[in-house]
Amino acid sequence: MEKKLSILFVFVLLLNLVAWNGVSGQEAPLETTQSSTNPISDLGNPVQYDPQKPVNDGNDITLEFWYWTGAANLFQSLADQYTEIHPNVTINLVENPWNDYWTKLPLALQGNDGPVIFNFHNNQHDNIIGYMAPYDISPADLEADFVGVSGHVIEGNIYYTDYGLMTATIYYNTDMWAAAGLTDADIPTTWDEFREVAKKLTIRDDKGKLVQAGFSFNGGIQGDVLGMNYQYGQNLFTSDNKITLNNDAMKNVIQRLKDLYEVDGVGDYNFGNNSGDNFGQGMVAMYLGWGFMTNSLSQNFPDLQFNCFEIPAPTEAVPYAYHRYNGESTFGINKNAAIEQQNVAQDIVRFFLTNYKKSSAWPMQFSRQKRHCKLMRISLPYRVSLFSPIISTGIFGPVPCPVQLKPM
Amino acid sequence: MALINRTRHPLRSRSEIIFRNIVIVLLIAFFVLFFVLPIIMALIGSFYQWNPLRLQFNFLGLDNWKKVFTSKLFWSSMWHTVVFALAAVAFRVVLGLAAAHALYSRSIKHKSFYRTLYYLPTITPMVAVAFVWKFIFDPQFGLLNHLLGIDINWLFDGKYALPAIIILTIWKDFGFAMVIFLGSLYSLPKDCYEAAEIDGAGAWQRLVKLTIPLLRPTILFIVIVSLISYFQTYIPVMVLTQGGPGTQTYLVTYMIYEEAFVKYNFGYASALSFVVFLFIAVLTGFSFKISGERSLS
Amino acid sequence: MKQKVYSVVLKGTLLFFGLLTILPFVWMLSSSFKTNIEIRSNVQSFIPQQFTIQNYANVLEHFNFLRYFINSLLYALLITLITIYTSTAAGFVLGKYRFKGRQLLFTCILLTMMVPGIVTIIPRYSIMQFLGWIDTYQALIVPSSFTAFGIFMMRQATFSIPDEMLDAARIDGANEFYLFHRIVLPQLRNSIVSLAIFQFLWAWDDYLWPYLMIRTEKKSLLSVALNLFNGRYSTDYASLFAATSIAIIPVIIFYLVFQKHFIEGVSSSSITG
Repeated sequence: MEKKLSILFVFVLLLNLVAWNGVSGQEAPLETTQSSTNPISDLGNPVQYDPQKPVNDGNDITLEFWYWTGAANLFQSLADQYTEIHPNVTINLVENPWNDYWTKLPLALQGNDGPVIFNFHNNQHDNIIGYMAPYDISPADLEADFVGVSGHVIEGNIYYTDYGLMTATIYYNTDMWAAAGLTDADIPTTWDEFREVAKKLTIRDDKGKLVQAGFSFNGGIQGDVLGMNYQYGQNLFTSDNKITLNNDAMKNVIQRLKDLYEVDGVGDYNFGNNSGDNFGQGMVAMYLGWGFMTNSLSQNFPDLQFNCFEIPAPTEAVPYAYHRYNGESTFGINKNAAIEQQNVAQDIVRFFLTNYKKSSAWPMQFSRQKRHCKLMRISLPYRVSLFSPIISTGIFGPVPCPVQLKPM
Repeated sequence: MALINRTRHPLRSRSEIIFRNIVIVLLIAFFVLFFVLPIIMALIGSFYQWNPLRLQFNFLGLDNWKKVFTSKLFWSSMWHTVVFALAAVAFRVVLGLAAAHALYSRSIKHKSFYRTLYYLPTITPMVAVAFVWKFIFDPQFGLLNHLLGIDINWLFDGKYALPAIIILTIWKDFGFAMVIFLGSLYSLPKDCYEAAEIDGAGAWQRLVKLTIPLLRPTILFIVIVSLISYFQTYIPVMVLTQGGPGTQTYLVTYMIYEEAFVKYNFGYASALSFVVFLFIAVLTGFSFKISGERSLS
Repeated sequence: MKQKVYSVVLKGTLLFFGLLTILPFVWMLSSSFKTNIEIRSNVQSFIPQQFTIQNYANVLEHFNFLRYFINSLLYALLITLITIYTSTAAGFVLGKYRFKGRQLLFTCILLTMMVPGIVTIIPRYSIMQFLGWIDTYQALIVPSSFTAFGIFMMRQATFSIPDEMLDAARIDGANEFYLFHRIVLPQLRNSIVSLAIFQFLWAWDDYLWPYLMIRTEKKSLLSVALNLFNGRYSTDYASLFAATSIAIIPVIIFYLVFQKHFIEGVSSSSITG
């Protein structure tokens, strides 16, 4: 029952957000964030940070901070900002590509000289949680600032929480869009419209060989499909927490993607192997990608002109949900690190959580909102948390179904 | 030439005993610490739900082993591994022997030039060349499709992904077989060939009737060494396909790697490793048997 | 006449396969001087249309090649030296001494050759953790200090040393340490060269164990560092080609200089005899 209510809640909120966003326009959300006051104050005190307070009694200390490839600039600037206030702290940043990161981090944490603080993702909850120290911030205080903290409380402690929300979107190449004679008015809201647009964006040579794909899902099909089932009101989990894939909604979703290639010919299974990279390389006009790709694309392909729009729905009506969402987690602290180092790590987390409110760089990084994207239905002042326990499935990672949203 | 050393001098000097004991103690200590102990640990672990990250070590009985034999992925990986190993071994032996035989021919000059060329891939690190081949197999700008004028998505098409890994392996490894064969060819008795030539045996006949039978121990050596190493191949899979498309290029060792160091199911990974070990042992024994050789030496 | 045609065909075939074998290297090298746009274009040629060395500049900025190369070189050389010494000593004892359990010991060592490395990697990892050796070079070197293959190879090789020679030295008063260093090691020169080459190449090619053991990036070996670099810059193909070329070319030069030893070492080793 609670679940049903929450789903309804999400639905209503989504509707509200649509309306709200429609009015607010491009750069507005950030302003709104700052002006909105927190209506719920009996939960605890907001998290505070006192930059005057010395860390480690002002003695020199070094700690290792691990993160995965994708946002080196943000981690560097966080480290720089922090060490500017606390010059006695040296932060060694260690970068690993995503796959290597999750092989090396658990191994490193087993010893007593692992990284003191590390970037964390909730799909690795089970492997890492045993090595994490709880924050020295009470969940009640955190809840005053962040939404859905309760979903992350374990025996009265908080080990990480969500600072942002990520979901999928359709990225499109604006140069190709213009070259095909398309304007903003052509942004599709239904899949039927989407097919027509994709056809217009497809270019073949004299021999019929694909030169530019209107749409590509190569290499990303799992991420694309898992979540679009919500458009038909189909959850990914049954009420007894079992995954359900073999259902009509899923078949519809897959058939639609297949038709795009096989019937409409807007793409090809063998035209490029990684739709995200191929989009960046100018082979593909549209592709479905997660929010963090906004940053990856800008970093890897600085010349690329792109924008994004909401994933289309089966009909004009607003669906149950457009796609799935996942919280972006705050950092983990290594419980086996020296206590002095842990204390500094706690301080960094506190600094991050308070500083975060002033700077939108972090959620922007990982949410799909950025200067490129003007159409949004979920926006910054809203935080998401998981209602259901995190269920690692190995293949898909955790799939947070019912989300709770509320204003900050 | 199995046991040439016959009787030893009867006196054992003190220094001999000291030297022997130092070597034997170090040797045994090393093998106990790095082979016997790990093997026993893995064997015990294979009966447990063993996840070092969650500090789990719960007795499961035969569950991991049952899971190995009922796992579809294991059997399909095993099948891919067998196909991969047999194809790679066959080409390695045939190409290596052909190249060695051609270079052995008296009419070829600049032998060392060709040897150098063919041996080049063998000495380069696998991780590095696998990256080069990843691009060679690219459907859009890859060298292979451009050279052959074809349009195959090598690494993402189930029909071609495993052959692509086999091609890379053959390219990298046949030079090694060639060099070994060449060494053996030079050590073959010359008079046999002279006799054969006088008897009017043609080049082909000499190869089939004389050279191959004489090279049997070398062939056996290469087959066994290759089988053992091909059953443990995973780097090309890791770099080129990550087991995909789907699970079409899962080789058993890649599967073990994934179970152990991605999912941290050490217990299940250990059980898998032992099954693979048994397979290798059986295959090696089988190779000895069909070749009729008693030992490698 | 027929002989001549045969010879031309043979030479042509050999040359063709030779070119085919080095083609990937040529392509890699030429692509490393191209721009990303040219690499991805539909028209491909071996000669870069727009020659650039920018890729190498990029790589050298983000990839401390020299450091990794030296790490790898020292590691491979050290392992090679150690295993030559230990293998010859163990091969000598197992081949030339008679004592109880000798055969059993040798059989056990041979059996370990057949155990897939991956079986022992998991517990070995725990052992290293227990010893506190993770992220140290001894974690790489100590577990490789004996090799079953080396012992097997050197044991076979000791059979070529006549017992009479050893006994004569013993009668002259040589102790076993002197005997081993002054007679056995020099006598087995050829086999040692072959073992050294095998061992060096294997150590140079090592990936998984160094990957799992070494955490500090500055201590990384070349293969591991290369893989890491490729993961980080996975979309910058031109830089990947440059990085891979940088990792491969020195090995090729090293090989071309010493190729005679490389090939003869392998082909003259006892395994082929």
